[in-house]
Amino acid sequence: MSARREQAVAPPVGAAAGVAAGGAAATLRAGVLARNPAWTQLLGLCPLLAVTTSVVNSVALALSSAMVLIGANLAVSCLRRWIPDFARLPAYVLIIATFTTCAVLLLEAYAFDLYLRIALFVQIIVTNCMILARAEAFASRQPPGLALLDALGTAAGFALALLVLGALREALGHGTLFAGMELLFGPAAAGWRIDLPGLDAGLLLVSLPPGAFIVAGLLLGAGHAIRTRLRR
Amino acid sequence: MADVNEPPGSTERPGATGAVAAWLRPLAAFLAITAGCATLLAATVELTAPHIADARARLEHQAVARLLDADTAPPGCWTGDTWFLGDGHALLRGSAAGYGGPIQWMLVFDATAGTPLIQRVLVTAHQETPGIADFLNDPQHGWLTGFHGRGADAANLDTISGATITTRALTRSIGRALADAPTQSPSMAADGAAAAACVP
Repeated sequence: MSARREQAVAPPVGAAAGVAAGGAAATLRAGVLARNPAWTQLLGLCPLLAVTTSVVNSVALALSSAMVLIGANLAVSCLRRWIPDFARLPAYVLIIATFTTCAVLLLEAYAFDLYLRIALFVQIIVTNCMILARAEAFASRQPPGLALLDALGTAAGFALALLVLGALREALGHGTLFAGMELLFGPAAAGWRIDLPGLDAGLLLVSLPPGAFIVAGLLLGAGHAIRTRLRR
Repeated sequence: MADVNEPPGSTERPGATGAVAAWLRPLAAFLAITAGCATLLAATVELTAPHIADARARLEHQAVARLLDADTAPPGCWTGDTWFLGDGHALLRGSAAGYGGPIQWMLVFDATAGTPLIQRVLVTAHQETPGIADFLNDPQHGWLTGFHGRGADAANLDTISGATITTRALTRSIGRALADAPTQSPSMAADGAAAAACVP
């Protein structure tokens, strides 16, 4: 059943591009650039926009998403011959939900103050289309090694988007960078905080939800402009 | 094959068992995946439970310290929803059914007077509408200080229009808790001594 499905690979639009091109490096690179989940596919925008008020929040969400992505992709890939075709979506959701719950528990156990701040958005990783899309479009048709690389590339791409947005919004909204990193990396990280001169008041709008849309929109536009220019 | 000699009605049986087998295998696979997920979850819970309990206790102690305006929580622990401080004061905690979910509150009261008298109320967690119920976050807010000096009659405190459900839930919950609160200082002192034994 699953063998037949593997032969009949009809890549969903935009999702499995780059698979045929093959190669581990290509798979890895595609997740970061050509198929960047946030900036190209516009997936996972809900946590992306909600959480990125600071770098530390972005790092935490990036790590949690990476853990779920890698776990889900590996599990789905290893089990791809056993997962019944008709129940594959419930199986994927079950696997993703398991890894998400594990990520939430780990965050609560080892970074409790951060958990209190962003737990809601880590919990909704379970509904992140980015992860389900990787499981369905890639991991269910590829061996574990490639699925792992794909997860790493996609996670790196998502982390890149999170960090860029988080750093921009923290710098413009609060006038700091890397504030509160001790919540995630222990007391030693308290010294990582950088106060940016001339931005001490900060633009309140940027750290509020509308600011997330504005900054993300500007970033998307800039990325699009660069890509268009490169293509010419 | 024996099936050939069977009456016509039962000739479909091999096909039926085939269909059952076709269902059974994926079903078993799905159940196995479920079991695997459950095992992974159980292992994670096992690993993280003590850390989470520690973190929650720390959060609770921070709230107690905030309520008492102290740097750290005093020695002792909760006995049910009461924490006897041993100096005629005690803490009460409870949960009110608010508009957006449970409102967790904590208060310190003076039990040396004949009836318990509230000294300070702190809302430790709530999911009420932001903006409308922001006053819950500030223990110095005029409405929350209205509880000071009250006992079970806290239930009669005026509500805030626009936040009626929130405020009525709190006044009722706190009033009810105060009506059942222990008032006798001798027994409280004894309980306080007992509570001191629970210091880790």
